[in-house]
Amino acid sequence: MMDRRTLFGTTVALAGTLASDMTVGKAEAATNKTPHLKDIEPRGTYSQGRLERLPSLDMESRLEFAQGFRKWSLREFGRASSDRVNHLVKEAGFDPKVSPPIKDLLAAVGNDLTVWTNVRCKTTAQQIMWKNLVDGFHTNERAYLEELETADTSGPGSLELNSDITLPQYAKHEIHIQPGGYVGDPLGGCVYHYGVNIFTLDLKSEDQFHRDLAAIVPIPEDGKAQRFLDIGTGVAQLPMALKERFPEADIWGIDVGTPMLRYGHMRAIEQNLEIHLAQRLAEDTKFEDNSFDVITAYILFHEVPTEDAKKILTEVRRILRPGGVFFPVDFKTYSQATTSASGRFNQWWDHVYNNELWAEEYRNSNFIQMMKDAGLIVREDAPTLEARFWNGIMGIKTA
Amino acid sequence: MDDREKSTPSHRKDFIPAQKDDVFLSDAALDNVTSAVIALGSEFWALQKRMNVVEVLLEDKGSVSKAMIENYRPSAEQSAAWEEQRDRFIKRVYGFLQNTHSPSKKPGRRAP
Repeated sequence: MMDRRTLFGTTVALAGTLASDMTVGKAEAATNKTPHLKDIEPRGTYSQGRLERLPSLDMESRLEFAQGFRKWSLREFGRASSDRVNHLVKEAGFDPKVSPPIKDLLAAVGNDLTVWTNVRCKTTAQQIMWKNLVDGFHTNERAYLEELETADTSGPGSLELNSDITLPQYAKHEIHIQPGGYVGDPLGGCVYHYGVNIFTLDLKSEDQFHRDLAAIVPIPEDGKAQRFLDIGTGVAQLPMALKERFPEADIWGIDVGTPMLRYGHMRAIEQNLEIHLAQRLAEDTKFEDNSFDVITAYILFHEVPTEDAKKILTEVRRILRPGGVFFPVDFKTYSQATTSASGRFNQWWDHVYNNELWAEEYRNSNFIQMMKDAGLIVREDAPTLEARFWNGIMGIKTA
Repeated sequence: MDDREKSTPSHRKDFIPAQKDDVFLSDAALDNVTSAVIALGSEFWALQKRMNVVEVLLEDKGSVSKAMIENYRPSAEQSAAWEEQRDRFIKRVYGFLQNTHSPSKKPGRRAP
């Protein structure tokens, strides 16, 4: 990756040398032109060499604070708030172990100061996090864009961009209140990656979750696992991890977000991993029938309306080969597990104020039945990293 | 395709902004002040962390430069200690926000 520290001094010079609009189209079908990008990085990477240190000490420190404040808001203060929610629900005549309907839950909570101050803290932590990331990276926007442009046409691996793609409405929103969302900020991939690390309380995480997840991705019973596709791949952390587990396999990832794919491609180059990323719709992948042995989807479906999810599942069945495995890792739906009053309140916050627009719709859906309706055989004993949290399901295509 | 659809190849201009209705307390000004106080903590911690780095460098090297500060790589032990320092700071300062034993005396904006 380029030298982000010294870029502070070179921004003005670079600004004069770059055209105002990049020509990303030329990145289409780029492949294997250079072994990897030039890597000069004075601040270096975090301990495993996979994640670049943030570009300045101040930015890094501010984000460490955001992480710490979020942790306190979720844990110490979060526990006090959850206790308060459960207490209020009990006072209203409900069993707090099983949440009442959301209307009754909100009526029970009322204007309680503990609960709403905690909501204020969680929301502000999220806002501060994004603001610092966006401000920090956009300070050197020109240089970062040049860095991405260099990667666009480099390899190993390939990047196919279709900038005139018609975006589904659901993909245009600022999910997680990330400014610009997945599509509207040219540096959105970089911002998202560090933001998610903070959201999961591990700013310096170096893809470890995705590597753990790749390690449990199930393969077909016949043992043939040569071609993988990750749908809604984001910044391609799972395809990278799959390539490490299956170095001989042909690994693909698709997403609608240009900024996400470009950043993911750049990171794959930095790690010298040959993966193929394409800007395509999960509902209309353009792949041939029976193309893949394994298809994965990590936390995609709670960000998609039910009707679109059904279209995606139909497409998954079409491009999965007979005997192939579909591994959709996401949260449990309410049809899989009950939720306490405080847990439900936190999910409601996430839905309304963290802009997880379809999370409630997803949790209220019967996703397992939707998979069956799409023609997949569903198994509910799929590997999972944490059974109480993740859905633990997989689908198999019959002949 | 309208003008908003004619985004640059690197990103789209037709994204849909999140709604900004996030007033949770009894007055929007109170929400704003609370957020500003939290944001100040972020700035304070940046200064504190810089001071930590400067102190370590002065002890070890006897002098500092901007580059030395920016590129300093704390040990695992230092990182853990500074993380504890940050958490103590957050708890010490923002613990006041937990002093909410009675319900708000004025109806909040979120009254159902």
